[in-house]
Amino acid sequence: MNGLPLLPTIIVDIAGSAANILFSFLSLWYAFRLTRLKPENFLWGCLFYVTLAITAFAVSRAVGHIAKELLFIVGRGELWQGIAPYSGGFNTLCMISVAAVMIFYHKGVQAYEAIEQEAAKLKQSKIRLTQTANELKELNLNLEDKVEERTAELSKSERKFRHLFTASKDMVFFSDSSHAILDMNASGSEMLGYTADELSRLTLRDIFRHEGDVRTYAVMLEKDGYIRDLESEFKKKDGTTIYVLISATALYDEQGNIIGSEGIAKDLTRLKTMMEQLVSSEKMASVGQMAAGIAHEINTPLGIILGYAQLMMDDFDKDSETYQNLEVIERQTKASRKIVADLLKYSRQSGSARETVDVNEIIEDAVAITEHSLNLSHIKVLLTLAPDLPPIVGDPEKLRQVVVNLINNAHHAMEGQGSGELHLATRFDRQTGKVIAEVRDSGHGIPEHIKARIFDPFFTTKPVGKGTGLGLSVSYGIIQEHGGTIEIESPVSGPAGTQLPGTLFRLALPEAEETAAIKE
Amino acid sequence: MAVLALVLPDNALALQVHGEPEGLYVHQMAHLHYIFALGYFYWDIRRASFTGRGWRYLQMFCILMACWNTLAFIGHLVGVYLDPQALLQTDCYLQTRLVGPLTLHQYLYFITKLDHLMYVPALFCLFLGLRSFYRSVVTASAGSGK
Repeated sequence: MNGLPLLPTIIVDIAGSAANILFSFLSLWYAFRLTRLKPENFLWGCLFYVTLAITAFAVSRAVGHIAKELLFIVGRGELWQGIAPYSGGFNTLCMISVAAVMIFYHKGVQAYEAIEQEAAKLKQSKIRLTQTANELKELNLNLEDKVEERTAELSKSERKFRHLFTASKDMVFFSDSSHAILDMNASGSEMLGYTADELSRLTLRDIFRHEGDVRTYAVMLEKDGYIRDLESEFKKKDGTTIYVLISATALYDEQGNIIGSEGIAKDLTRLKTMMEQLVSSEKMASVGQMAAGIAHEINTPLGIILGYAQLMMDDFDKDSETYQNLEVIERQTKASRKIVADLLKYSRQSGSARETVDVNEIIEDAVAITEHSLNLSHIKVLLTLAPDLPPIVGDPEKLRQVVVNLINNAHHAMEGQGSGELHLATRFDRQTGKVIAEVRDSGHGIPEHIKARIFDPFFTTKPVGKGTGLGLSVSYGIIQEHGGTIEIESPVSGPAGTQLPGTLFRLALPEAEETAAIKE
Repeated sequence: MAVLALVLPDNALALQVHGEPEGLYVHQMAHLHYIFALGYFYWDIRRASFTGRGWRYLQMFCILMACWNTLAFIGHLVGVYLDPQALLQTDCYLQTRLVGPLTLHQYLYFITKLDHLMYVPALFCLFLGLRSFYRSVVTASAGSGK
């Protein structure tokens, strides 16, 4: 072979060196742009320095090579001998620098990664912090509105329950663990007759009539935590009793200990009275039915006895003992027939007239009949009759009998005192549409324990032989027959809460329908 | 006496003398150092699990540049041991040729003289890689509205 020309190597050397300069500078330009775009990015910063070292080496080497080739081409190769050591030395220096920067690049990237991880954590923390700050900010902004809204709700709720507490017609009370009354609504204090100030010094022991009921109350609360429908009696300030139905709930502290109770007491006094009256009515109705049956059975033989006795009386001389005996039979038979007639009236089996009646006239008639005997007992009769009293419909005879009965009872009650006052009054109650007639005496009154029995047939406090015990029963039956009511008060409630001695019978009779219709 | 010794040291031999081959040795060691650094750089890119076209170009740069370093290292050795008689310059420098019959040594010399055929692609890959980084950053910035 004849050798190998080095011209291609010279061309490649020159062209390659030029291309190296171009690409290295382009690379450096992009590396620089990256650092400009992301100056905070450590990775691009490191890469820029690596590229800078590579460019320095490439340029140094390319310039050296081009210079060498050109010097040799122009025939000044000896000049290159002088430059070559510096060019080679600088190239070596650049190469070492490139290698060093590349190695340090690794450590830099490691540091960068560590920083990035920490930065990511910090970023996350910042995001969470920002979210929390935003939430706090929003909460803070809406806090006032929320507080206002909540306050309004609480206020509304408080008003609602306060109204329930104050407006309740039943007693609502709160007590502590020692049964001291902490609070009670107005209905409660009204029921008991105490002021709020007096109630604050009382305990449940003071208002329960029976000590045992307080113990029952406490035991039930401790056992079940609540009380449902406990029937008990409360003692009013004036000493009278009210019947109540209690429901209560225990109040606990955080440790579960009972710290008090809250209760509701319903006044059953009126209901109880009504129940007693109802029982009494039922009893009297049954007694009336029985009496009616007996009266019918007895009336016939009594008529026969009376008839035969009167027939026999014609056969004997008036001065004879037999005649006198027959007179006794006649008198007693008539008395028996009167009792039977009363029984029939009580049981409403006897006939009744239906006509318009002026109650004032009835009272005046009754007073006229009894006035003489009342005067003998020094009893002063006081009439307060309403002038514009509407008429009622009924049997005037029977109504007169009722008023006479009541006057006689009043007379009997005041007889032992040597004097007294009998008040008779009438008025019209427009609200109920009833004519009210009241008969009040100043006698000894009716004991509490017999109040419920005074309308019972054959019940009497009079000595034997003085009364049959049918007067009030018959009166009761007559008033019932007229669609009215008869009430009793003893002692009598006077004006301004005072109490007057004696007894008051109050008759309430419905006004005549025609009159009511005309008024309407 | 001590002052005299310091002022007139005579042949103290305090400095090491750097002879002629030292420059070549340093240069060759620099090539080896460069190869090591490129390998380290390549490994680091793979270790960091950087993905994308730019990092792939950068890895190619490392490989090509390491190959060039090896070629250059061999070229320097061949140049040292090439007989000056193996080169013949007739009229001018451009007509210089390797004298035949050609040996392996001479072929190696010729091939290693074409090292730019390796060096230029390496730098081209570096250029492509950095341009790719730049464009991706520009695109990302535009995408995020920055």
